[in-house]
Amino acid sequence: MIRKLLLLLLVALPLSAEDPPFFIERIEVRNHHRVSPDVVVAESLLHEGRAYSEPELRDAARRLSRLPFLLSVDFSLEKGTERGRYVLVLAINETKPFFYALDLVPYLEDDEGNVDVDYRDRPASSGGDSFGFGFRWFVGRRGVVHLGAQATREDRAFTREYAAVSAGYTQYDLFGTRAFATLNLKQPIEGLGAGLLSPQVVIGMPLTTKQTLTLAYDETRFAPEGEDDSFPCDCEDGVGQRIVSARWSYNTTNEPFVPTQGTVLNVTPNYLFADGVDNRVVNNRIVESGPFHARAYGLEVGATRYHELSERNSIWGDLRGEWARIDRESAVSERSYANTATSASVGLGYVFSLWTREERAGGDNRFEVTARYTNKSNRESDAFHGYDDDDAAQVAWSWIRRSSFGTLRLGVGYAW
Amino acid sequence: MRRAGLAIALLAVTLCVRAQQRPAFTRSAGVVAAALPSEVLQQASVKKQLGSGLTTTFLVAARQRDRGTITGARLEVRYDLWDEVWLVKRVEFDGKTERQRFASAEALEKWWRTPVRLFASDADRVLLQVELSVLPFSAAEEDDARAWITKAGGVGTAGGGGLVDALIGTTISAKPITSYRWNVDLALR
Repeated sequence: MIRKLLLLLLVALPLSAEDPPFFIERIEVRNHHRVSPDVVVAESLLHEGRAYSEPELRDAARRLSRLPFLLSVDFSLEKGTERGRYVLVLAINETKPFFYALDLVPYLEDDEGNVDVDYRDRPASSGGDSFGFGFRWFVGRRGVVHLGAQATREDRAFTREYAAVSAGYTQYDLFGTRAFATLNLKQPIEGLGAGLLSPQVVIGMPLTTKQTLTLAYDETRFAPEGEDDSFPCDCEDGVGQRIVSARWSYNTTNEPFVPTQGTVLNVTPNYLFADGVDNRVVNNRIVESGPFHARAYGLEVGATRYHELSERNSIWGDLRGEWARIDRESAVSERSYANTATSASVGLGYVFSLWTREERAGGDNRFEVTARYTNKSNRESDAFHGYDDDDAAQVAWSWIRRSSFGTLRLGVGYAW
Repeated sequence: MRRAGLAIALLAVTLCVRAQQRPAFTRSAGVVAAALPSEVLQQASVKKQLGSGLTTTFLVAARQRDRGTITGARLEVRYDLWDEVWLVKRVEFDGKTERQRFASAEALEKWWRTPVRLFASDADRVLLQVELSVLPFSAAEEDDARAWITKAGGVGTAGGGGLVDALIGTTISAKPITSYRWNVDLALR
């Protein structure tokens, strides 16, 4: 231990001490066409009129490289107005206003001789597994309007999966704090039938260049399902869910969607309220129907490490854990319960790049092989979506293509 | 036929250029050193980074394929925009560190061609794989050092000291601008 500390002093201190800070009198964003320069500066967390060391500039470069609307950014200095002062030049390579993130890797499941197809492959602690597409416009100095469609496939014990069309606005550099806020209005179109316009608010607060706290309020109202004229129920609350979450994340990765280097740590406590309709079915007939109310609170943690072995080869490994306590009261007999659901998962991946580093300045083109083992317990939340209580193993092969339009993942997996 | 001839000619030129881009190895007092090809500094992406006013780090990792040991060296170059001088630093496999400043690009190139000491060996023949990674920004970062120290316990490379492993460990969190790899069969008699 002492030896390690001595080595730390030998390696870190002398090198850090020689890095001169650069006094940045101005930050200039170049090659911008659609992206607002103010948003880029705000997201870098750098301020004009302050001195920064090279490691601080490198952290800022990494943070910018993770933005979904930038493909790459180059940092350079130019002389300022006085000796010792510099202009920091950020030369950006933008993505297109039309964007997509399509993760299409169906899993074939051998269910007692029947092969089913399922898209669920990632636990909620990985940030959810959804896909979407749409348009993004920068408005004003710090605003972004978006319009699109999304599919939420969060593999939680207590949330529903659905697809929705959405429109929203994001304000960056909120009150000059470098925080951002997004208001998103969703209209569910699939899952539990046509829904009602539902709000989602996300506030992100960068704590450091590597750490972000994200607060989210996500309400989704669905159309009531399963009503039967012979058993009308008092379902004034309708069908919906309301999730409040706070996510702390530590991120040092080099790209937002297909990183090859760095670490991601997430810790997300969350709280859910859900309303819906329960039906008791006998011989394919609903014999009893009534509303249910559920409350759940939980914690999701995740850690992923990406490591580049060589120019074309990289590997990753992750560990996930989820815990949730669900209290459910139902008007239908035998449908009330209180239980605890847990899930633990370990994943490994190997990625081969079809492109060289020089070619990757404009995107990415990779093959990926993944393996995952998940152990779930007590996920008897059939009111949400029916999960087996079994252990699950998955393998998948996919092709990943990232361009200035977005990221596409195509492949196939097998689960057993 | 003409097109095929042109393609062969282009291939020959390419091979010729690639052949020139190999380091030259020497051994003195049992220490093997490599003179890095000057073409590296001329590559567009490297030139662009060198002109950025920020540090460009050149990381040399030498793996002796027959023994499995990894050693290395690190070169750092920064152009000071106000003093208009090149500030350079060289850390060799045994921790020997040298800092200099040059007033001209010619002096920088001369320094670049000076052989960098990679490892000690008495063997007559060494099968070597040399990887040169060009990294943006300075490699000095506490996190990198810490990552290396965590790693260093299990590395146990013969001929490589702790500091040398640190040179290699810094690649963990840096995204290279470009990199080169050479496989060399060194006859050192």
